[in-house]
Amino acid sequence: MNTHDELVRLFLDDPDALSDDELQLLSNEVRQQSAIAERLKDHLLLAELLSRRFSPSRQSFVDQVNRRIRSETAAQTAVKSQPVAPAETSASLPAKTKTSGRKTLVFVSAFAVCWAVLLAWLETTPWANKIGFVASVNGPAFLERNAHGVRLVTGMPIVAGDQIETLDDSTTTMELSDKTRFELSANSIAHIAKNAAGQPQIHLDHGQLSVSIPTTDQQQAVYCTTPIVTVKIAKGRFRLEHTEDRTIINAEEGLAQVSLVEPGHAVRKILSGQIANVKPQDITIETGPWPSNADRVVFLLPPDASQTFTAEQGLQVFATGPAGPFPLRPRQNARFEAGEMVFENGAFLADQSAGEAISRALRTDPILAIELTILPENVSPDESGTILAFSTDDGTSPLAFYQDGDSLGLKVPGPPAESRFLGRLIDTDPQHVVVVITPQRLQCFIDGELAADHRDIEFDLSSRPAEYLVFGNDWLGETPWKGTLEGIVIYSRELSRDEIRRNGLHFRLMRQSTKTVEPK
Amino acid sequence: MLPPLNDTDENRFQTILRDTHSAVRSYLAGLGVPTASVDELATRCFLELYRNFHRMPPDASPEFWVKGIAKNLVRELLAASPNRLSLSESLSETSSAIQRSLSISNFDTTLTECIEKLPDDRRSLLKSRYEADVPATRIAGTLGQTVGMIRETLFRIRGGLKDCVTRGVGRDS
Repeated sequence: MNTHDELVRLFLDDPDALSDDELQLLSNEVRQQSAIAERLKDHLLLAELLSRRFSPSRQSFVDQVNRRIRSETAAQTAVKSQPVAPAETSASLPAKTKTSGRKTLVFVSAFAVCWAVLLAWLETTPWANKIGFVASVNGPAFLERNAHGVRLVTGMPIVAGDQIETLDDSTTTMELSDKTRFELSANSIAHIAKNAAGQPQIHLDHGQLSVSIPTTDQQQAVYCTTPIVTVKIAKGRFRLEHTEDRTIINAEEGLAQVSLVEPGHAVRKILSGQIANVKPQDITIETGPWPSNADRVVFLLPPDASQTFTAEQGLQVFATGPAGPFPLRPRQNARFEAGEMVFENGAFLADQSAGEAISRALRTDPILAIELTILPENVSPDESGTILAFSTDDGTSPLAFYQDGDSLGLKVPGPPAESRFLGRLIDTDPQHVVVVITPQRLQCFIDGELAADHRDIEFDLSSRPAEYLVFGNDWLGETPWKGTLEGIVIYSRELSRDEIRRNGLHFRLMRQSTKTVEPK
Repeated sequence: MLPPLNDTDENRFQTILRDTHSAVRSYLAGLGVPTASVDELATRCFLELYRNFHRMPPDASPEFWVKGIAKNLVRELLAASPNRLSLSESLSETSSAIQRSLSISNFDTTLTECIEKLPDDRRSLLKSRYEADVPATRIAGTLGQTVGMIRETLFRIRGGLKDCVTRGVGRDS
């Protein structure tokens, strides 16, 4: 079977599954070859006719259209009729109307009855009970309502009682009227409901659910449940994952109350950056891991890095990585104190094996991301120094991060060699900095916000020689930096903005909880 | 919100809905609209017709008019995907054997007969596929076959049905 035949079959099975390139190829074939176009159209028509024949939910189309029309015309009538008070009774009528009071009373009563019937009927339509709608669907997902299963389609109303199911290769996003969004990941099942107070509630049967609640004044809490826990979310972004008898709640941002379904347990609070690990009778809350995703981490220096001190080698601090450990040795007065590199006009020099590991990783994935938390001693105009240099042993530093006054910059290799602005250092508080370098782009994020984005740049990262990593100075020791460094990670991949924010948050929480603990 | 029609127009609208919904839904499918979206889009066509009922010229063919609405809605729907739109336009200009047979009076009966002639396992596969618009990936998992095999079998069943239907309606008519 050739590619075109496969594309035709794939399109007939799931039109949304084709990539843009595949669609273009198919579109060209159909345009150029009428036989293919005719055959495809025959199959599309037959698929439609078979669907109508086999799918019970498609056999009452005329009724569905009429229900929709009645629903929309009824809403129009209701709006027009609103100025009349349905609850008005003869007792509240002025005395001068008593002469025609009987007719008015009959009319008002009749109207009240009609109004009640209309409202009762509206309550039974999906549009009246609508909690939200399907904002997007990627791949085949399904909705089950009143024991009928239908394919989920963008724009569909979601009502209480609906069950949504995604498959291995599909996801869907639902949106409530207050802009709260639920994203159901692949292979998940969720039920939509309203609780006793009429608030929307989503029950995750299994799989993964992300909830994003915008911050507004009128925001009502959203309740998410799994078979073992109820989560009341006031605002922010949360991710729930339920498998068998365990739920993991990841607070990416915001505040939530977590309570076990089994009675007799206290309600717990979970804050940004924390993760609640819930079992049927137990909730454990801990700080999220840092780094949150260890995929393609080449070099990692955590605050609790192991250290040794020997007469021969002196102090050595060990960074980790798949090719590690990588020893770092201090120059002059530099020291590793409470998880921070303190330089005192000295520097830390990583063993050459670290540079070799980075060079090897970049040959496969020519993307370099560097994450570090910097604490500048001050940000006055006359302050300057090299924070991190990738140096060769002839003394040159083709790639180097530096502070110049209140600016953070990157010296990039040429030709021509030049300096690029990365962002502004606001004060001497710890600042979480992530620099992402791809072959044609340089971005810098400071405390999770994009501070610089250079697209007019070209990096050849795939053929870089193994370089020495020098922290707090350059190779020759001519540009010492006044400040301290901590939490250093080097990746050979890009990081999403969410991941960067998460890492910054998790690192800060981790440091708050361990600042007083001695490193191992 | 929709303003209600007067009784005369309401009756006429209901007649048009009854007489044309099948053709309009087929027309949408023939433009490449996914089966799962056909009824929602067709509903929107008829709501649009209802809303602007007085705009339909008295001498216009209602089916032609509603198909015009359908085509505009499809263009709007696919505007964000130029390749899908281009494919849809090409399909719109194509006339196929099934499309020509649809207007023949015994088409439905012939299709029913052709489906009944299918072996049980093939009819059962069609039911699995079209009862709730279940894609081949899911059926393959249930039946323990490859996705490619399921797609190919469905393609052949539809191909066989096409031959059967076009022969049948041609003979009987």
